[in-house]
Formats: sequence, C-alpha cells, structure tokens
Amino acid sequence: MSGHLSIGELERLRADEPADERSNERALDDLRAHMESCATCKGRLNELDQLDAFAEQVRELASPEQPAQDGALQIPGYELSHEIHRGGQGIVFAATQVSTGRQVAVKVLLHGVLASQKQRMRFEREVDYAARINHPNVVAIIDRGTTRDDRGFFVMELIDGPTLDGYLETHRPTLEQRLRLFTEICDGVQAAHQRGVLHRDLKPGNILIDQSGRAKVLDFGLAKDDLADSVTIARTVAGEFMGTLAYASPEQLRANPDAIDSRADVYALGVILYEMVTGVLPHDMTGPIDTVIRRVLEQPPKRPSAIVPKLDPDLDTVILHAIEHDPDRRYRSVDSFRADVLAVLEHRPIMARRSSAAYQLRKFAGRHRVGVLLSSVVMLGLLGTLAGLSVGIVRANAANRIAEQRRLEAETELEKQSMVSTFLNDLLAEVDPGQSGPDMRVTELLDVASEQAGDQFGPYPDLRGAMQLVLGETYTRLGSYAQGEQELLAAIASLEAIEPSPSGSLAMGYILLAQVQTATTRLVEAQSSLDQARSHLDRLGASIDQAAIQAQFAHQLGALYYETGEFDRSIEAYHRSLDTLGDIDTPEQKKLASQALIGLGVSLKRLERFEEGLDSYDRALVYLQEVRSPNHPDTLACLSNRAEVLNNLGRAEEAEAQLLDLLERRRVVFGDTHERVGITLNNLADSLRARGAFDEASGYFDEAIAIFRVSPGDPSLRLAITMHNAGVMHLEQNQLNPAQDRLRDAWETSKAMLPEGHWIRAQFGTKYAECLMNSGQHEPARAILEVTYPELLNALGEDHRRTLFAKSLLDRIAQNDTSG
Amino acid sequence: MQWETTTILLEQLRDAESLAWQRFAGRFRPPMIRFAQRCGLTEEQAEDAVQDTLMQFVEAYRDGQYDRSRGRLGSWLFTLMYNSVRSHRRDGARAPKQAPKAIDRTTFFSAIPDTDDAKQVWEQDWEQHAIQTCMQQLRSEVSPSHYRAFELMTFRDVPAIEVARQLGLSRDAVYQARYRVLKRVEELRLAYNGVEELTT
Repeated sequence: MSGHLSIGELERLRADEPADERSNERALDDLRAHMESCATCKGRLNELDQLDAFAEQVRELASPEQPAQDGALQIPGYELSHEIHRGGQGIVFAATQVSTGRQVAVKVLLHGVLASQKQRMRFEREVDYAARINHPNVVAIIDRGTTRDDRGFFVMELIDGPTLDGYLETHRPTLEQRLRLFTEICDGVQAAHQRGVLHRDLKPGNILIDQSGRAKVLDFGLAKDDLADSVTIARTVAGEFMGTLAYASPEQLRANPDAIDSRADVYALGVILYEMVTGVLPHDMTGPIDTVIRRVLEQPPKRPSAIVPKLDPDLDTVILHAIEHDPDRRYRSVDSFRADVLAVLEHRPIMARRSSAAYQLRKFAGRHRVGVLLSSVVMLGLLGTLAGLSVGIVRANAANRIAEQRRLEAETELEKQSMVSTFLNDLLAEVDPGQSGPDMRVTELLDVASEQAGDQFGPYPDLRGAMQLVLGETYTRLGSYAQGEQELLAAIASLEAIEPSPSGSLAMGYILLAQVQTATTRLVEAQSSLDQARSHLDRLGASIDQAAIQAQFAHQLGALYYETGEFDRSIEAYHRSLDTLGDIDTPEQKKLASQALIGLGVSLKRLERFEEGLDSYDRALVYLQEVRSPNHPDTLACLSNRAEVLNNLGRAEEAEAQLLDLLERRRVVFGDTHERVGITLNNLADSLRARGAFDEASGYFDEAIAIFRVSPGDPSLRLAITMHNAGVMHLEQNQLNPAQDRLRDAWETSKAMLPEGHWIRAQFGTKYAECLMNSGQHEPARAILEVTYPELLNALGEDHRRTLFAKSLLDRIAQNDTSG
Repeated sequence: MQWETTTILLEQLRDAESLAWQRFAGRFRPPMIRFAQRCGLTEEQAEDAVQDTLMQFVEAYRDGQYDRSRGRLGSWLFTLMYNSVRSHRRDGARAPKQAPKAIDRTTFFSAIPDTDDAKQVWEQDWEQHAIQTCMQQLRSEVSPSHYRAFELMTFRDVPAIEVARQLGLSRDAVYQARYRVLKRVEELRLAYNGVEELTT
C-alpha cells in the first residue's frame, strides 16, 4: 500500500466501517496493515481522538435545538423527526404530515425573528404570497402557523438532494448543462416575481437539486425584509451574515431597503451564474468587512473570461450586465436575463449591452422586429425627432443669437448634422425587419441611447440637451419614470448651461419633469416645475412652437389639477390646451389634441360626466388613428380609459372585451410585469367584480398587486388603488377579514402617498370604515368617518355620491347609537 | 471573508478614531449582557453595566494597562464586569452617590454569586458565545454542503455514509469536511480569545 491514509480512511478505521463496494474505497484490512507500520498515521489517529473531545464541546455549546422533546416545538399535524438545516432565521426539520403520511420540511423561525406584530403580519402575508407560487422550480409551501412558544413556522415540500454548490462539486456538469440548470433557477424566480414575491436572499444554499436533476428555489421572501439591517449589523459584528453578503446587491449592501426591488434578485442570480461559470465569486471576499463591502461597491468585477479562457464573450457580457452596480443598468427582469442566457446557449445574439456602442446598437437593431411592435414605432419616432434636431435646434437658437454666433453655428451645423447622422446610422445598422426573436423592449434601446447621449454630443450642450429631452420624454411615456426624470434633469442642466437660455426647450424640460412628478404623486414638486416652465414660457415670443408648448403646459396643469382632485380646474386647463392649439391640422397638433382629450375624458369621468367623457375619448381616437399606431401608449391609454367609462355607463361587456384586447396588447408591448399591464389587470378585475364574476376578478387583482409590489419606481398609489378594489370585492362577498386587510393596507398606503384632504385617501378611509362597521366595530369606523366625510365634502361637494355615501354611514352609526 | 481576530481588533482599538471599537463591542457585548442579567440586573442596568465595562476596558487598554501575558482577555473583562455588576446592583438599590462597599452577603447582594461561582457562570457564557460566534464565521467560509456534512454528523449523529448519500458527496469527502470544520473552529476559537494569530 502506498501513501498515508486519508482522513476518511482513518475515520473508517476508528468506526470500523468496511469499504463501500460501489466505490473504490480500500479494504479495512489494507488500512490496518498500513497503520501497523506508519507512525505518521498513528499520530494522526491520536489527533482525531483529541478532536472528538473538542467536537463534543462544540456539540454541547452550539448544538441546534432538539425537536419534539421540547414541548414548545410541537407542531399540530406534523411529526418532527430530525433537523436538516439551521440558518440565520430558523431551523428546518424533516417531518411527516400526519394526515397524509407525506414527508415534508418544516422551517421554524428562531425566537426574535418576528419580534413585532408588524413583522409577524408581514411574515404571514409573505408566506401567503409564497404559497401561491406553484412552479416546478420553486419549493412549494404547504402550510404555515405559529408554534406554542409563539414562533412562526411554515411547511414545505421536502426535497431529497444536494444544494446547488454541492451538486456542482459532485456532478461536474458541462457548461451547457450548467447554463440550462441556471435557466431553471431563473424560471422559478421569475414565477415568484410574477406573484409579487421577491426572494432577497438568493444563494447556492437556497437552491436544491432534486433526484431528477431539477433546480428548486427555496425560501422566497420569507421574513428576510431585514436583510438591510443585517448588513448594518454585519458592519459591526464581524463574521455575521457573510455567507449572504457575497450575493447581496449593492443597494442591499448600502442598507437601503427602499431601493430594493426585483433587480436585487437579478443581481444575486448574476453572482450565482458568475460562480457557476467560473467557480469563484465576482469579488474577493477576504479582508475586514468594511473593506470587503467597499470593494464590492466600488470595484468592477473581473470579466469571467479572464478566469475561464475561451468563454463565449456574449456570456461575459450577460453575466456582467446582471451584476451591474447600478440597478438601472441591470436587466430589468429575470426573464430578460434568462432570455440572454438562452440566447448564448443557442448562439443567438444577446440583448445586453456591450462596451462597444456600435456593436451593441447593431445587435439591438438587428433583433428588432420593425413594424411589428409598438417599440419600433416609438423608436422610429425617437429617431425622427433626433433627425430633426440638428436643424431645429440651430434654428431656434439662431433667433436669439448675435451675428457672430450665427456664423459659428453655421460652421458647426454641418458637424452636428453629421454627428446625429452617425448616431442614427449606428442605431439602424443591420436592421433586418424579417428577423424575429424574443421581444426587444424599447427601453433597452433607450438605455443604449441614454448611455451615449451624455458624451456623444460633448461639445454641443444644445444638441445634448435636446437629445436628453427626447429620451426623457420617451422614457416617461413608457412609464420608466426614474430614468425619465434622470434624463430630464440632465437635459435641463445641459440647456441651462447655454447662454442665452433656450427658453422653449427649458420650458419643455420643466413641463416633462412635472409630468414625471405628477405621475409619481409628487404634486408639490410638480407645481414648482410648472412654475419654472411658466417663467420660461413668459420669455418666449408668440410663435407656432410657442403655441405647442403652451398647449402642453396647459395639458400638464390639467393633469396636476386632476391629481389634486380639482376636476373643474383640470377640465378648464384641458380645454385651454385644446383652444391654444387652434385648428388641429398638423400631425403634431393632432398628437397634442389627442392627449388633451384623453386627460379631459378622465377628469370628466371623475365628475361622473360619463357621456361627455366617452365623447372625449372617441374624439381622441379619431386623431390617434391618424397619427399614432394601434399599440402606441397614447392609443392604449385612451382605450383603457374608454373601457372604464363604458363600464360606468353599464356597458360592461363592451368594456371587458376592450380590456382583454388591451391586456394582450400591453403584455406584448411592455412585457408581463410592467405597471401598465398592472393597470389594465386592475381595471379588468374591477369590471369583472362589478358584475359579480369574483373568481375571475380575484386572479386578475392578484396579478396586478403582484406587479405593483415588485415593479421598480414608485407605484405605491397604484398598489393602494388595486388593493382597495380587491378589498371592495371581498366586502361585497362579505369576506370581512380579507376585506379589512386589503382596505386598511390601501388606506394606509394612500395616507403615506397623498396629502391630507385628498379625495382618494378620504374615499379609501370611508370604505375601510364601512368594512369595520360591517364587522361591528362602530367606534373606530366613526373616528375615521369624522375625518373622511368633511374631506369628501370639501373635495367633491355635498351632492357627490361618495360624499353622500360617507354621510349615510355616519347616519347609520348615529341610528345605531339611538337604537342601541 | 477574513476573520478579524481579536488580536487585530485590539491592535486597531489603539487608534481612537477607529471603528474597531464598534466591532469589539459587537463581538463581546452579548455574553456580557447575559452574564449581567444572570447576576440579577435588569435589561437596562445590564446595558449600562456592560457599556461601563467596555469603556473602562478601552480606556485601560489604550493606557497600556492590559497585559496579555497576564491572562486572557475574557478573564480581564470578567474582573471589570463583575465589579461593574456589583456596583450597578448597589446603585440600583441605594442612593446613587453612595461610596462602593464590599459585598454584603446578608443583604440584597446575596443574589449575586460569589467570585468563584460568578467566574464559572462567566466562563460558560463566554465560551458558549465564543463557539457560536466562531460557528457563524465558519459558515461564511465553508460551502453549505460541507457545513451540512459537519452538522449532520456532529449534531445529528447521522452516519457518514448516509450524509454522503444525502449530499451527493463521497464518504471520504464527508469525513474530510467534518475534520476541516472542526480544525477551523478550533483555530477561530483561539483567535476569538485573542490567544493566537491565524493564517487565513
């Protein structure tokens, strides 16, 4: 026999364990024979004996809890057998479900994990959401509850198999197999996102591989909302939470829970893929904690191909795109990440951006289905605008400049035109309209343009500013408010640097900024942006351009008044916008008119002037059919609102048909998880609810809520509205508990989002109060109504049905007092 | 993630501007709080007593009074902590400015264990926290499957062959994992107590 005995062999000797026939282990007799003559191995055997004493000490001081013997850990309906895992949050036991005999896993949270009532409620909600994820790549949640000693627990299916890292280590799958496995993990995570559940703690230890080789993601969203706190603690308590840190996104490391959305999971998946491909983590995790965190936050990771030579460069790009520091620069969804991994597997071009702008633009353009999707229309609109820029801007500025400057501009005009032309050529190069493939979203294209707008037009702030303005507007129109705002602020900064200031462009910049702020319910900021816009407008002389900007200004004012609940003023502003446009002949005028008419329709609807509203939408549609594509956001918005007003007029069937069609179109244009899809889902659900189709409605509400819960940006008000509608549905079915939860959440959210006295929050409070009354809680209901009734009275007037309804509730309580 | 040894922490503690103080306190506060409460202090008193002790320690340490050759960090902290507990018990019951006296076994101080008993309680808490902290660090260092192998064998008495089957590892790898984990915890515990430098 050659060589010393391995630890395993020494242990087998100590335990007298014979060789496993299926493996190539050496026979015990051979090991004994070696031992007789080897002093080194004898010494190591002694060492193992000593280590046993230490192991005993560790066992005594750090032993996980014993189940079952401890009465507190008995869980009705389940027989716990043994502990299978212990984590920072809880302990997982193998167990048998008594009723079915099925083997399950039970995770019992540690004491203190759900210290407050709020945490407990959140935990319960999270488990309920997680329980709805029914997907082959997600470990199913079966049950939940509380132990006798007040610890939360939940029951999952039991997976017989190793964790991802153990699996990779023992099975050594090929790169292709690893990538396929990874797409399964993505499938599981995406399914959860579609249900509104974020994971927040994805890592190889949370991914199991079952006996058939299928990936199963574990522990979705469960009581991990304090990961950010954990990171804070980790900064002070060395050694804690480190296993998680390697996969935590920069926004989690910055302990900024508000910034955490589905893209944090994209980041973690990116790190996992990096590790699956290279065998190492993207960042060196050695050194003091602060240094490690700083390193992760500040240093770019090594390209995977630097570790694994000959790696497909596209895979490099895909992985690095997923672990971008800035969430705005990462894949927006797990779906798009997965699509790119598949593209690499199938040797198709990927969507992620590469460092070479020209290359990536060609790739994007090459995959774009021109003429099919709205995105192409928006893109062409964007390109058209850009094409006009060099001429338009020079013209506008020339009017304000002295002769000397004109001469200079004339000299630079050619150069500017050439730059714009190069930019457009890059965008359009290699477009093959016949080629189809997975959807490409226009926002991805915008990201590319945005990245370059900052430096491509370096010497010309006017050109750069105008570019950013267009990008800002396009992002905003697509509902990507954060990016929109960023571009608009950059545009304003670029334009303000020009002397004399280009008032028209600046006014436009502020109007668009107000649009973003209004859409994200920052009404005071929106008002101030409109004030800025007005002051720039005042400096403009009368001209056609000026009329168009004035019309947009009035339009935005109308939108702001709508949000503040001043519907009469809103209607007045929209009419002013239409009047300013005068004869509506040009495509530009038709576009603006259609927008004003949509806004007008919405405000009319709020005042319950439904017939007028419908008329307004129909007029808008006439213009839209001329100047916009069927899938343009304005067209879709108009149809969406029209459906709503049809509902109000009792034409529910027409409304639902329109909403279903709209839902499909929006799914195609924006993707399944976009908030505009959420809005349509909510409207459809509410329409179904109104005619009593509760089951169908319920599914749509859930999907809408799921979208609003994870969508980037600030959709809380939309979430509140959807929760309110879902709550009303429960109330109508007399399901008082879920109704109360939903309506309370909706009201609380609206209070956080809207100023006091706003009719929506007053309305939500009123509905919550109704629910409380129905469950016999008259006093808290009265307390709420005493606030909301005067608010509704003030905001909507005494004859409005909502005001009258609040009044009727108060009357009912008073009657109850008298009769009681 | 590299383990920050107590020796390194102590070195950094010399610098008054360093954030090491927070990490030092974070590492040793839990067993001290537990000890103080076991000696009868309320949660609030325990927090105060521990804060006083840590401050005292840092001052003395920066003054060069802590001589590592004279004993382990844990013993040193015990002396300070025990005094602090007694002082807080006294202050809690009497006028705050009264001069400290020796333990009076016949009065309310009887609830406080004597030095030997207290020391025993302290060491138990200290050691438990040390091991638990080391285990936590360890989990960030080893792969989940190796940790699980160790865990199943050490805490659950699952035979190596069964662990190997569950985790998809070889039996040799399972034994190897347990061995490495134990050796590493041993190392970490020494470092926790500021006894020995580590190579990581």
